[in-house]
Amino acid sequence: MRSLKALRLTPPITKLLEDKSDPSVIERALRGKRSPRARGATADCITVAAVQMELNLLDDGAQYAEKIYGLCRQAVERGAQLVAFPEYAWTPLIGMLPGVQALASESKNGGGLSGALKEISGSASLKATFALVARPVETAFVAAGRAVARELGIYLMSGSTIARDEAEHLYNVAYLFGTDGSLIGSQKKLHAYTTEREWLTVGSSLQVFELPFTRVALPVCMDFTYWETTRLAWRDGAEIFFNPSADSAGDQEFLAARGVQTRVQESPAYGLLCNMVTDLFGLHWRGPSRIVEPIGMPARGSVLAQTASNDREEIIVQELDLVSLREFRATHAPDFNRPLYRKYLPQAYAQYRERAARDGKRTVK
Amino acid sequence: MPRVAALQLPFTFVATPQEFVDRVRAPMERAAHDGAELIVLPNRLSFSLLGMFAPDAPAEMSFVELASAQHLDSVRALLHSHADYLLEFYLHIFQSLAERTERWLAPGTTLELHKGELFNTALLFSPEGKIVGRQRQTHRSLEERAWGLSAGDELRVFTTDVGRIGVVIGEDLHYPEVSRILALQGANILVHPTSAELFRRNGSAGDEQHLVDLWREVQSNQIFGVQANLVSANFRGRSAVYAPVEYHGDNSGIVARAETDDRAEIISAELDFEGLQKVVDEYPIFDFFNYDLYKRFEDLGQAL
Repeated sequence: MRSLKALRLTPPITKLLEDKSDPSVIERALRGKRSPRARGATADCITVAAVQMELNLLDDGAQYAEKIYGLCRQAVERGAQLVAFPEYAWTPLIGMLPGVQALASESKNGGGLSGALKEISGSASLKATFALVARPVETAFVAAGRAVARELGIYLMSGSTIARDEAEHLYNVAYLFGTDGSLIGSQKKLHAYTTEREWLTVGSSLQVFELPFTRVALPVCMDFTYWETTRLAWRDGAEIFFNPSADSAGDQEFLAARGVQTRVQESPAYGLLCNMVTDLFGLHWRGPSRIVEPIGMPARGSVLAQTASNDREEIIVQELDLVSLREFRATHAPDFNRPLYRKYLPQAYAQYRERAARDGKRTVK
Repeated sequence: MPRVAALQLPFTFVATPQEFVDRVRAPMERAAHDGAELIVLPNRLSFSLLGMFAPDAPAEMSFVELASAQHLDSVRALLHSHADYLLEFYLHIFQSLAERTERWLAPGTTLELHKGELFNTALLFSPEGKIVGRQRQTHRSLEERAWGLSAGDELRVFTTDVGRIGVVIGEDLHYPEVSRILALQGANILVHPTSAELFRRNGSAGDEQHLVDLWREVQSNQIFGVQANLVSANFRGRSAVYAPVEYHGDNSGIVARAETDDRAEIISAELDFEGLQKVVDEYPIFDFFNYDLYKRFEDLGQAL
């Protein structure tokens, strides 16, 4: 194993990362492809693909674009017009760091991704390490997304990437691109997972994006633990929820069911659960990935499609009948109790917040 | 550790109050004998007493048929006509049974006519037979709207020796706002009397009932849940005691569950509040609330 000191993120390494994430190089990587083009979606139905993506470390942004392109091309050849990727879809770009590939396969490394990155950077702070890599990673991630969406003529929810703003805040952000490669929008993760507490700044607004045929929302992983997220997106007209995820409990039925599969029962919509899978760095991210709908829709049960494996790269493709969803919503029109929510909900949050701040923790005994 | 029980009971109309008492007393006494300190009964169970106003009519008819048998032109008229009597019988029967069994009792719902408005209301009785809680259903199904039921406008948590109880009645389950408000108010047990029709078309809840029943709210709020299902030709479902998935080794969140979704059963389980606290301490999802985002709920009253 190489000396860890030699791998530290010194200025020459920063320059190297910039070179490896150069958007023009990434654009060139996809030139000359004889690509199929996705069919145009209609207002009534759309064929979507959920990608279960394996974390294979890659050398640079060009390789990353090739990988995303290969997966999306397979999806388009199976009829997909919209393709969705997992949370932490950026992690193959960790391979841009010199020496990280050797570290990833070190069987003694039990510190997970954060441990590995801390070891490489020589920093005790994961936040400091992420701050150093965030800019080149996001640059490569966005450039690859743009290029692939344009090349195949697809809508692309390219999963989530780490991102850094001018104030050095770090975010976990999902991106959505249009068929011409334009950026339709992005969504910052709104609720941190416990292991992200150290470095993640959460967003404060939830976006619903208007596509020509439907409206979509792309909250990230943990956001689906909170019904508030999907209730607000549903209220703003979202008909498809993308659930990019990276979950060590993805293969445990009941633990995994706490995400989009239950949320679409409360706030009826289609849901695409896309999982990252890996055993690198001591991580054990697992699938299966799923395309789900509210129980009571024409198909029996909530699962429309599911990957065959929970630990391999796979693509599932499914036609979504937007007319049926709209009919279901109309026949299950909710009986909201507006005065009740006005009376209790803001006050309940405020009082709980005060109590939690005072007591230091929630008591359920 | 307190033990709780849910009684999964069939619904048919009864000709006399005694017939109703005979139906519920035995399972209640068995649950009490087995150590349950809190006993939960299904939603609308007491509506079977409406049969006493047409004692010669078949026990398994529909509400529409029962209205017709009484020469009333609608279910709405049926329910409004007999609401006061139903409440009176419900109070008398369950006060007595709570006192007799010396158990906390959440005996499902009854009709309550208040200032001309009709509510589906659950009461909570102490082991002394005193009323310690009253919760009106706050959201209505399509059918309940057609019946002329009004929606309650209060949500309260009731402190008992067993735990801090919030009552989520029938249709209220489909509105996660209800369970969240109760959990934020400090509830550590959600009691859910239900009569679920959702799976009538398929004939069975199959393996996914938990996605659409109290399990979901228990996971969202990391507290215990006790669900009692009414079963009949129209209503199916497996009663259950739920906990957060991390509470038990099998990571299912199902502490106890009925074997069937269409027959009478008693289920019960002990609630380990120390275990529940450990789950919350290790995975404190309420710590990660996004209060800035939730400010948007302040205008929900107008905009939803």
